[in-house]
Amino acid sequence: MKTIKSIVLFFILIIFIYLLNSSVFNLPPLGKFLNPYSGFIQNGMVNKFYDIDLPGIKDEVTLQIDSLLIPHIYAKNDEDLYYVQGYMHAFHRLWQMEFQIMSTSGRLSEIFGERALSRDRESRRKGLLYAAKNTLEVSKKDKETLKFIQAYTKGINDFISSNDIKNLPIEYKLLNYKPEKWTILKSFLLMEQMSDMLSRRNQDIEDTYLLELLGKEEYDFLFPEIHQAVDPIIPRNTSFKFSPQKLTRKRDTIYPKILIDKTFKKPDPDNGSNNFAISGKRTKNGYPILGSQPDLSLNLPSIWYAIHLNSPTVNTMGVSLPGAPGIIIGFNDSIAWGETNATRDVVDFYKIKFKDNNRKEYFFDGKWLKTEKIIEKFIVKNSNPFFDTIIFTHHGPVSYDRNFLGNNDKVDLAMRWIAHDASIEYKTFFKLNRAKNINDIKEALSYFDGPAQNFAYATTSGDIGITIAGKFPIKWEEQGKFLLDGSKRDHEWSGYIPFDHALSMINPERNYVSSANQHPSDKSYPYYTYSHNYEYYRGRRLNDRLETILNATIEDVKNIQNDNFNYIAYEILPILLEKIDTINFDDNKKLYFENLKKWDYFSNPKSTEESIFETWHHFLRKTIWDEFDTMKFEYRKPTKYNTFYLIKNYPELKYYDIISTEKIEDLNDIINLSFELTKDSIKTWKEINSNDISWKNYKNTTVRHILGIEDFGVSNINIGGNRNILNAASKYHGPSWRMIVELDPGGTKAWGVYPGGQSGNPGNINYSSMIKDWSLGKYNKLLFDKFSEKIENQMLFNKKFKK
Amino acid sequence: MNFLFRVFIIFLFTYFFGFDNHWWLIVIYPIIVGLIFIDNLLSHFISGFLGIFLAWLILMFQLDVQTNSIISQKVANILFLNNNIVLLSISSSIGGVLGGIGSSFGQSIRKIFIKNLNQDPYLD
Repeated sequence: MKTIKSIVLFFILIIFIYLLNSSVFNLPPLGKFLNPYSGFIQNGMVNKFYDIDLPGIKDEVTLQIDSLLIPHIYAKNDEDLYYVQGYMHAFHRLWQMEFQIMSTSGRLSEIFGERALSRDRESRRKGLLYAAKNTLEVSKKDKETLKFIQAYTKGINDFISSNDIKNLPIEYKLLNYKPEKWTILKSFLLMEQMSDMLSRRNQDIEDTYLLELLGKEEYDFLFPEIHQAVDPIIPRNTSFKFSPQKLTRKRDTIYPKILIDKTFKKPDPDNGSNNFAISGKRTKNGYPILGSQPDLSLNLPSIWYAIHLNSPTVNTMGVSLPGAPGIIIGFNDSIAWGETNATRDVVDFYKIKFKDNNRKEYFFDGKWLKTEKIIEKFIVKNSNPFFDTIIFTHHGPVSYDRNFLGNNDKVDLAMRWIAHDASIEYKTFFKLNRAKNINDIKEALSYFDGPAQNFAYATTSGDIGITIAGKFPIKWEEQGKFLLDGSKRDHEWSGYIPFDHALSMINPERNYVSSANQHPSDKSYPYYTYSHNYEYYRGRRLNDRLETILNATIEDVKNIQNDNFNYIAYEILPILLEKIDTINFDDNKKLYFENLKKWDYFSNPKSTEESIFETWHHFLRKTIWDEFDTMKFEYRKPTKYNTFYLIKNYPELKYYDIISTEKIEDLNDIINLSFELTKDSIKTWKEINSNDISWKNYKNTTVRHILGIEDFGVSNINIGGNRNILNAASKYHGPSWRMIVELDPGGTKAWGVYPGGQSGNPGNINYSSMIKDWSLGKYNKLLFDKFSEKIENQMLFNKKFKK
Repeated sequence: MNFLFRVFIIFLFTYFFGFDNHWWLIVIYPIIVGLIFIDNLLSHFISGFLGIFLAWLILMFQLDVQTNSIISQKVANILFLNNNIVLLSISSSIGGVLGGIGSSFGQSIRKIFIKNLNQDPYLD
């Protein structure tokens, strides 16, 4: 009897321990997660600097950490420098770094199980892993780049292996898994992730459908490539002195007609930015000033990590990407640089004709070519592994086929994307970080393939410039705007724009350079530079502002970056208000109308007009383009700019009619109707939320945790602005880093802030500590000196590490 | 006395000698206490429970106060508990139950080796 009792108790004990260590109902394993020794409570511990040891350094290293938790690394050689950068990235951001890579390489199912499988398959079918492997092969040949990335990788791994389980980032504990070793390939995957975010947007499938449905003339009317008002990055009518390699479209070009129910998830259309450099001739102190503000998804842990790197070959500071060595946007003793996304169509889809069901051969240029078959294995948590066969052609992976979104074997589309090509972007950044003058910058940028960026730069010797760097295929007019025929040689990309022909401008007469994702040039540039996603407003506002400032100060530049002027409202609102029928006004409508009439078009946090205008313009576009909502396949609607252009210039259009009503509506009707809908919608909003429709409340800018865990994010941030506004803070998207650099030859001065904090740990006070300053347009002066002793009294941590 | 002494010993060991990598190994403390002191199983359950419960509660509160409850408040919200004190109490109770089962198990082994079945454990 007693023995039985013992045995029963023994089993209860074992089962209890087992249950506490396993996750049930998607909860973290309770014992593991809640115990005081290694559970969540350990993540509350503030900065564990005493845990830092740098076992792999070859020489003495001084590491300082300032009150923003920005590391200042002073190493005696470059390998130690990147080793410590890797170590510090992992120290603050390990989970985020690894999670991004898991996502890019299509391995989320290993953490989340079956619900992530479709997303994982999409990642692999986009060829992200394939692209990173291509890049790895080429980069291995560049010995110096490889050496730096190896040192960086070792730094991350030394942190992982010296780190206790109790110090693991809390996300690992919540999801119950452990970090793996970092590899060089993972750092390349990170660059592919950036490409995925910045250069993959395309509308080839949607536009093919629209072209078929609307006919060429109507399609061009609704989706023009450029407008007269555009103020391109390289000013209009610039003359180019090189002789270009021109391609002409064959007369009988026929695009394949294919209809697809569902396309791959697209990157955010608002991924953009602004940057500019002002020559010393236009600044108060006589030194050039550079401003850089990349707009990305607002996430925690933040996408950026600020760091200062110093070795005998380099002294540079700025923001880095956790997972990548070097500084991506920043400055050194002689130069400063910043990037904005150079949108351009670098993704094309080719219709593939297979010989038979075996898909071993496909037709190209009169011959049958062999395919390559790759079987991708997906490890799925709590389930059997899943296998997906991906066919590769010389164009690229057949992304849409009988196994995936291919409309039951009716469609085979191969994806050609510039990011699939091998490239050595890291070399650009290693060189840029060390650049001393315009020539060094130019050389560094010549290695940059993508995702293509508009690099603005300024130097202490007084030069400013902008270069659109990246690998761009040479295209004939409209090549790749629609689906292409994978069997025809003339549908292929036949070459790339040489770097010497890249759009670039140094020390222009107007004494400033700028970019904000607008068109790179007008038609005077002899290459085809189409994108469906060029921005029409921020670039014009930016240049308007720069034109008016003659003695620019740092304050002026701050004001530009935080500028809340709503250009759309400025251009369209007076026209809309004019058409409003004021006779049948109720109190609310009257109030809204009168407020809008008085509005100065600034979308400040307290502005109620901005809330009303945003709602109105939403409903206006919705009512105009209601025809599109009846379309059967994936489509897009005309851009905001073109919508308002049509309203201004075409008072009579069939699209003004609302197709669901008997009546034939005209422009006046829909302007009034959408105003009515606005009033109703705001009323509903008030009932659900609050009476206060100030823009800050109404918009509710939120910095989300990468996993969407609400309590790890920050919401209702007190900030104005919106998409298409320089201060581009929309609900989940906005300026992800604001940087201003003054190129004083006596010592570069810089200010910066980003919506987050250096620590990736939600339990750390520095996790989201900069958000408030960011929202108020306040900046931190960045501590930057060649000598560690000069700034050491301002540090939280300062230690010399010996070999 | 016996009871309080047991709680105290388990408390002391769990408080000072936890295991980072395999947190549940602390169960050996109540098991050993269960093997040494004779009492009925329920009493052992309660002493095991209290020993670990109190140790964990104090450990967690100390860390929590030092760090302004930032993480405990966030985790409490994630687990749909509106309050971090509830979270810390539930966490400690999990340790407590482990201690209780461990201590009873230790005692049940001890009971196998006690010859005199009629002996009143409280007279020991």
